[in-house]
Amino acid sequence: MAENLPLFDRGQVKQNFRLDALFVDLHGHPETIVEVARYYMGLFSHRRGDDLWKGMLKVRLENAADDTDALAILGPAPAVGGGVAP
Amino acid sequence: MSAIRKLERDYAKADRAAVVGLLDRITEADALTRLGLESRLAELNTQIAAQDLEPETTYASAALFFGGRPVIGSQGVEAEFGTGAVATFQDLVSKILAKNTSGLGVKGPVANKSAATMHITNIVRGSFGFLLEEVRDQAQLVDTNLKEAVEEASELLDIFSEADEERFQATVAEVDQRILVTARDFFELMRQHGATLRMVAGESEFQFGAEAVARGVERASGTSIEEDEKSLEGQLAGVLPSAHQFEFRVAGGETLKGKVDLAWTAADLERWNRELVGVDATMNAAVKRVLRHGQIARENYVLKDITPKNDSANPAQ
Repeated sequence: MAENLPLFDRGQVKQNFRLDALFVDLHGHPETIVEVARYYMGLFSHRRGDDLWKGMLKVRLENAADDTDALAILGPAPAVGGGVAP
Repeated sequence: MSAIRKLERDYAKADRAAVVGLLDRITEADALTRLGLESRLAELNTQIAAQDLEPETTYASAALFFGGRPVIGSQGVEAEFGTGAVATFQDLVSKILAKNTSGLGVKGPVANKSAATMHITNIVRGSFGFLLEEVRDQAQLVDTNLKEAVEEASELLDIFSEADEERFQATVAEVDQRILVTARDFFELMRQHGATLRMVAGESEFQFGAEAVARGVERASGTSIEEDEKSLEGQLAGVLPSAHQFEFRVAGGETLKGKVDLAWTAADLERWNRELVGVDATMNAAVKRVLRHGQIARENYVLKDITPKNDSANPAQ
């Protein structure tokens, strides 16, 4: 983890990968996992102004084929620096 | 601040409180979780700081959130109730604006009504409601009359529904019968439909639960306002020139306190203090009575003019 600190920096991840990354330790305290799941669920389930569903997606990280599929769907890598609304 | 901006600011602060609460309880095993929450906290702090720097808005804005029977979750509100409530609130605002500017007549068209026009600019969620705003071509530096009227209208409704009877009577004495009737229509509509309301106007937020609505209906329908003129003999005890307040000792009776008609200048009042205090005189006053179930609950006097007895042909002008 120490060698790849930029991967855990939300600002840099957003810049480089256009991804809003908020991590949850699955080996952390069980109560914390429940608490933050509750919080992020509230944050990401709906758009606040108009209640439109946003939702969350589950992507397994260990399957390289998923990465290939995802890249095919997303198309070419975006220009670095383009912001994405949260 | 506009109603929607107050809501956004409240939301960001509640969000920050939730994140701070999570960070307080987090353990050493949750290092990555902490990183995420800390970045969320920093983001919220930036957002709140930016909101605090935004200039105050000077135009009128009110958000009305309805709850109870006419509302289905955050999906919709019964059209008849929703439009009726918004129309009655608009009517109340128009009448208060008229009272504050050109004066509200006993009956007939409400003066300056177009200046009181609010627009429904959005719907608001979290139960269901409407955002009403004053739409203006140009920004202006001072609060508009309409902004003040909207805030006064929401405070008036709040005072109708809160338990403090003394505050209610003092406030009602400042309004008039037509405004009272409109407030009654508003609460009656809410009661008939079994609705509740949360209202955000400017910096303030008001809650109207079922009990508050019932109290509002009772107050508004059990109260009436009577106005007439009275001529009283006695002596002026003194006036406060800039506050425009007077005390008058009625011959053989009580001491009356009240306001002096604003048509008199502070210089006129200073002269009265020199020339009329302790002199037998006749005072003409406008009297406003607040009646609760037909009984006089409060009387307010406004001094219109005062004439010394020994010089009745030449009233103080």
